[in-house]
Amino acid sequence: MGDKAIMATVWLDGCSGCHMSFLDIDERLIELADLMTLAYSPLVDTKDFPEMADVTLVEGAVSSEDDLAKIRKVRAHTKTLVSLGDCAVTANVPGMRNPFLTEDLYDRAYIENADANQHIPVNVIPPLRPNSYPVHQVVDVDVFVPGCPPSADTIFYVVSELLAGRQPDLSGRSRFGA
Amino acid sequence: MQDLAIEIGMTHVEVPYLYPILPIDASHNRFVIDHNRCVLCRRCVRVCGEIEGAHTWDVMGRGHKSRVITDLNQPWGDSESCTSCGKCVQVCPTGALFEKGKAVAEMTKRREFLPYLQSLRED
Ligand code: SF4
Ligand code: SF4
Repeated sequence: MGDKAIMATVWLDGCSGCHMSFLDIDERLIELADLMTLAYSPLVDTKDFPEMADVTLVEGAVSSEDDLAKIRKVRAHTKTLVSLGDCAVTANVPGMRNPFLTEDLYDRAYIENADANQHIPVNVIPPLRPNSYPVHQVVDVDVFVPGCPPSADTIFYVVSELLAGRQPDLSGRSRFGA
Repeated sequence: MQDLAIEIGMTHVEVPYLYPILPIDASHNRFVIDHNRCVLCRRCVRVCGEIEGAHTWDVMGRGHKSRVITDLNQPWGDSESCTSCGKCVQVCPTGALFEKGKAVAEMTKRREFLPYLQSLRED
């Protein structure tokens, strides 16, 4: 560890595509590994968020009570918080449910379209918030990286710049959508 | 248009989204308008009025309640002024206007003919 930066990645309401795109950095991950320690992520085993992460990438919108608790905790323990991908930046696909009532969604998913054992789960599955929110509507976000998903090159650029202590300039480097 | 947003450094939207449920008018036999995708740029209004000369499109309502309408807010299919030329579909930057039977990404846009028509008018 020593003077390496501490990095984390979090997966909220997203499809994991942004994390896949992060992995698509391929062999350059080794370059990044020289600069930082990935202290918390769906990609590593550690269960506890570090005391203070220098950079945290967030994938996904804030959709459930669990997402909300997670992102608040992550914000409190992160210096530079990055909204990674359209779901984090705009609520994107998870946000498509927002014009509808949550009760109607539960009904549709667990009663109307269920063949057997029709019931709305109360344990294990965290309750939905009334809407799926972009991350910056819930906590302060420092860097926005749109894209569905952002390309591996874009993610590599952003992470490299942040680890070098610079503010990445996204102009012309990513786009909303695929 | 999404590329333009990034070019000018617009990486996110600060104001909370409203998530309205807006109608889709598929009454025209060739084209559809999905108001959920419309950004009220009014390119359809201009091309239809200034180049096609039909002036089928206009804007109704104020502020965030503004919508583009056909004729006197009638279904597009009932419009008597529309010549079905498709110019509005060609210029719509968001895919709010699209051809039936085609996904927005599948549509090939041939916008070159618009300045050409315009220049013929001016001669
Ligand atoms: S198809 Fe042509 S005439 Fe009809 S609304 Fe569009 S631009 Fe106007
Ligand atoms: S051109 Fe498309 S986006 Fe622009 S006002 Fe017309 S329908 Fe809306």
